Amino acid sequence: MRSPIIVAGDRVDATSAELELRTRTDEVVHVPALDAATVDRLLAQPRGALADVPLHEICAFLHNVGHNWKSKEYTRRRIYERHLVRYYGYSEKMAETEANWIALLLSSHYRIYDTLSAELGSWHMVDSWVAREEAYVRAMPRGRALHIIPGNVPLSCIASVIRAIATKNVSIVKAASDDPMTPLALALSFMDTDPLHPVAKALSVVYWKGGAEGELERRLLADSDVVCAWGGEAAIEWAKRNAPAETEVLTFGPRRSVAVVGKGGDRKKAARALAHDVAMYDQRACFSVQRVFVEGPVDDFVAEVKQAFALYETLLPKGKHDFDERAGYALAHLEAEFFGNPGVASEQAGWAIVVRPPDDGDATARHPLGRTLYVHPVDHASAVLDHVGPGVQTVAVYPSELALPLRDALARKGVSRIVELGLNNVFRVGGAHDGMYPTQRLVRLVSMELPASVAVKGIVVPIDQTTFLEQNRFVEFIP
Amino acid sequence: MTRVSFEQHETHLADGRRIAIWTTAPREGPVHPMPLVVGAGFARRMHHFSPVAMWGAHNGFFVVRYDPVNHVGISDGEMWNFTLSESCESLRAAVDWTYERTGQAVAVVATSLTARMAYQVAAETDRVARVITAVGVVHVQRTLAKVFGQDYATDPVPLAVFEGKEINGPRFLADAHEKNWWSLASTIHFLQRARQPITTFIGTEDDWVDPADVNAAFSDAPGGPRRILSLERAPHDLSRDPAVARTFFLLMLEELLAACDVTTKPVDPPFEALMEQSLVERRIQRGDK
Amino acid sequence: MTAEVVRAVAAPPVVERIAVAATTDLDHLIAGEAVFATPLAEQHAMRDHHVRRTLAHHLERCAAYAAFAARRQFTDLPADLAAIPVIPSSVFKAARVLSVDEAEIAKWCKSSGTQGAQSMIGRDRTSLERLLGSIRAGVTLIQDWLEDDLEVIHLGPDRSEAGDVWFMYVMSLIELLYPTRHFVRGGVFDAAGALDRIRALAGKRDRHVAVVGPPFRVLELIETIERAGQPVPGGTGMTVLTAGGWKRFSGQRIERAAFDPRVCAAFGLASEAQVRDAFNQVELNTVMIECAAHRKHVPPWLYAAARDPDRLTVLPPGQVGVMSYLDASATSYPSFIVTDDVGEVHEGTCACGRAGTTLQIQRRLVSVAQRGCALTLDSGGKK
Repeated sequence: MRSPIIVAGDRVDATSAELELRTRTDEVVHVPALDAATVDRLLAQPRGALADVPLHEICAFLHNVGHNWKSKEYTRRRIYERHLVRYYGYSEKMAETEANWIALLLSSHYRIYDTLSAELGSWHMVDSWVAREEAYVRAMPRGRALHIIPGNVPLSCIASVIRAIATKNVSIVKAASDDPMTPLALALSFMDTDPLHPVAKALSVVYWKGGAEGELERRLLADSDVVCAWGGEAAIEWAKRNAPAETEVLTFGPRRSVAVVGKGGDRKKAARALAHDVAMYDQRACFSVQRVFVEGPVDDFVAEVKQAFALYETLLPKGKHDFDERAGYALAHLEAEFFGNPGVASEQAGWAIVVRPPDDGDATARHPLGRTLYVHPVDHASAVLDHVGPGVQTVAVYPSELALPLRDALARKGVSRIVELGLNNVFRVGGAHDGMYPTQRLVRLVSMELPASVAVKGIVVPIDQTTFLEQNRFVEFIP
Repeated sequence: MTRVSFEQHETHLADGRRIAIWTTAPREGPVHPMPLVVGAGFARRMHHFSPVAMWGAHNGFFVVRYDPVNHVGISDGEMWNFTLSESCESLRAAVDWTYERTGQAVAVVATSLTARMAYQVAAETDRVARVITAVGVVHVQRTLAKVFGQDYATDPVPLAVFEGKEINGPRFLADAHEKNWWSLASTIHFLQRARQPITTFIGTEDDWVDPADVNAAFSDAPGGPRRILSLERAPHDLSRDPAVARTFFLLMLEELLAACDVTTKPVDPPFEALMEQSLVERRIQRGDK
Repeated sequence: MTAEVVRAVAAPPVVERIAVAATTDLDHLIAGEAVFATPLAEQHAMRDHHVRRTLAHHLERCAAYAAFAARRQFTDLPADLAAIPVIPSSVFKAARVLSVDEAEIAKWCKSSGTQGAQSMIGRDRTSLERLLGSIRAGVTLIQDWLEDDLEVIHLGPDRSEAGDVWFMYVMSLIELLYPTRHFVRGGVFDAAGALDRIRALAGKRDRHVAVVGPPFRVLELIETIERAGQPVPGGTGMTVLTAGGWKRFSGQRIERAAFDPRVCAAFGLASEAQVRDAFNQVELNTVMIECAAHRKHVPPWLYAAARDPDRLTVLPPGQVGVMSYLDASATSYPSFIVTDDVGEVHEGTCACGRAGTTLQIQRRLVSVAQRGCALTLDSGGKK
């Protein structure tokens, strides 16, 4: 396949060089490589292109794009799903689910408003000045956002770009070699909707080989005002090491997630929720559950989980995995076996369940992913506290009330999210992502503060500092 | 912290030529009353025998090494002028230096061609208490003929080349003929006169020393107790196979410890200490010459 | 007495004759002069013999390996080599697996840790000596130099600075074989100093020069030479030997097809056969060096096989798979491993003329965690 890149809303089919990507299904994709002229064009795009576009206009545009995506007949969506299957190895069900999620995120205009309100205090702040105590505050876009996107979760690209657009930044997306399709499909769907719309013009999609960054890539990084670096440590390290001091670098991952199942509740329901959180993205996501701590005897629960896993083999059949993933899975299972830990697995390596004591560190330290669940029997749910830290993103609990007795201690341990089991991938409005509110970091807050004629709260006279000094009366105004 | 001390010294031949000497000794604990003088083989330098010194020192022996004059190594003279007699004089000088320094008769540990000199020096002085040789040459003419593929005793050449080093043919041959170094009989002569216990280790895969010659030399009216230990599948270069080398070191030390009335078993020096000492010595050699 | 007295023959009172078993079959093989010169069938027979003997040793002395073998229902003896259980090399990052008492460990060897935790391998004297033997044997694939025939320019630190970090330690061992100067001090590579020395030796031409170092350092040297615009007059008297891989400089990695001509141009080498690569990893006790045809020859105490990525079963020669080894030379730990490398093995007569098994390593496996944001290592769990 020959794939274009996008420069400020324009499709570019060729540059002076070409790169060959090999996808996890061993397909070859040819992509125009970055060259100096392309970098010049990318950097020539004004940083403030969206600054004066009202949020309503942005949300309406995204909503329209989302509506296209909602239609299963939308050609772009159909091509995208086909590409996910062919180049990304997804099962058709997984590809369909992913496209549905893209439609949902784009169409949910209320979600954009609410997220901005939750994270900034008011969505109005991105459009105009909002009174905040003794100041009017406006959230200005930082300017140019560079998104370094991982290959594990296509949707993270969509989330990253929507955040940047909602905060009126222009975006350059560096696609992952595993998944050049998602950012491209998003940009092309913008262009399908209105190629001249400022939001369409605010998105560029390029590609380079991770780990082989040179001068051109460094120029892009140096001229970015904010970097959203997702995924593997190497990408994050490169961005952190090379970004200018004044550039805001947001890092997402790498992290892992766990689940806790308490004694109460419906264990069958818990098993189905667990199977969902394991099956989504075949555990490649940072929010994917890798291990579950289960109160009390686990045999019956394991039997339920087996059934649920089998169900998910039909609901969300496992995707194709490339040579390296399959080898990694086989090696990790062999390692677990070395430490006395064989577990049970489906015939086609579709999933595996391994029951081990929670303290069996050596045996389960390296997780093979690929729908492998480590089940740790514990006397009490609080045992999970010994096994979480800042490397853990999400702790999924079942039943949901279990969150209440655990949340303080989990927060102190450094985890980022506590959710009900089955909702790991949902990211509710108002929820934190890897310890932060990302849109706060995508804007520059500017304040216009009240004049001297308006008294400072608690001080009954107008501010006249010269007089205060002349009369040496400062102390009188201290509340 | 290494458990042995390493020092550099020197002595001189009567004509003033300098012989470099290295000593290796236990840093603490008793030192057995029989210093070892290690005579390296032909075209080998002191640093090649670092393991012998380390095994010796770690088992309580004061170990002395030297490079002969007119040889590779850091003593005076060049290999071009090598003669068997000067090699023998060098061994004698090292034995004398050790005896004068310690007041104790020494055990000579000699390999290959230097074994022949060791038998002679043992016959000539009671400053030598015991001799242990490895792949020891007893029939110089036959061994050299095997090494060079040509019998220079009967078919002389202007220069011989060994491992890339040139040796002045006429000078070497004149000395060998004049001082009677060639024959098995000359070796037997000294072995008959040497009263000290002498042990030799032969290698069953030694292409250069014929076990029959060794048997003949050791069995013909020996002057003292004799042992022949046959190291199965050992080549002439014992260091090539570390398992062979270690077997030799341990057996050698067993005998030396027994000679000093010590009943404990020999021990191995730490591997890392061996490496470190070996590198230190290589750097000294490389820097000096 | 450590050596076995196998025969004592009656003798006259003063001449005692004793025969001593001075070595083992395997040590004799490793130290031999014809490691790579025997016919393939003979190599296979030797390899099978030594691997099976070592297997018996590990089954007897390493409880963890024996338990693993039992779990894998491995009972067939004498074993089909392809069926002998292999340990993922990652196991050594999580546990110390030994087949000897810990007191016998002469050196704990640490991987350089390009990816996450480091492997810790305990080696006893025998394992270390055999490893050195494999280097000595491997160097003969380049040339059987005598000590004074060669001078080594080492683009790495000396042994004391290398410490326990395996690839640096192994490379520093070259100094035990040949006069060597090291050009990394305090972690800083002195490219100018190395180049001065190389030029000085190339000018003298009284001995062969080997430039030894990791490929990224060789590349740095090449760039220094290229900037100066004056190639080294290496001619036929110089060999460039890379080892250790690209490590954290993988972004600069250059494929061999491009790397070798650049080395040749910069160092003025007469032939690409003078550019060689060596392969080892901390869990493996044998160093393999390329022949002139750029194949890494597998010595006859080592079984190398590529395995399929799903079941990790052995693939026929010529197929790309996950590399695995049964290394008979390690006594202190079971060097029966399946690694994170992708490669292939070949059998038959190599283009260099030697019969045997050769291998080509293509790349490292890329883990899911390296590509995405799912952290797979249980790192910060118990803080």
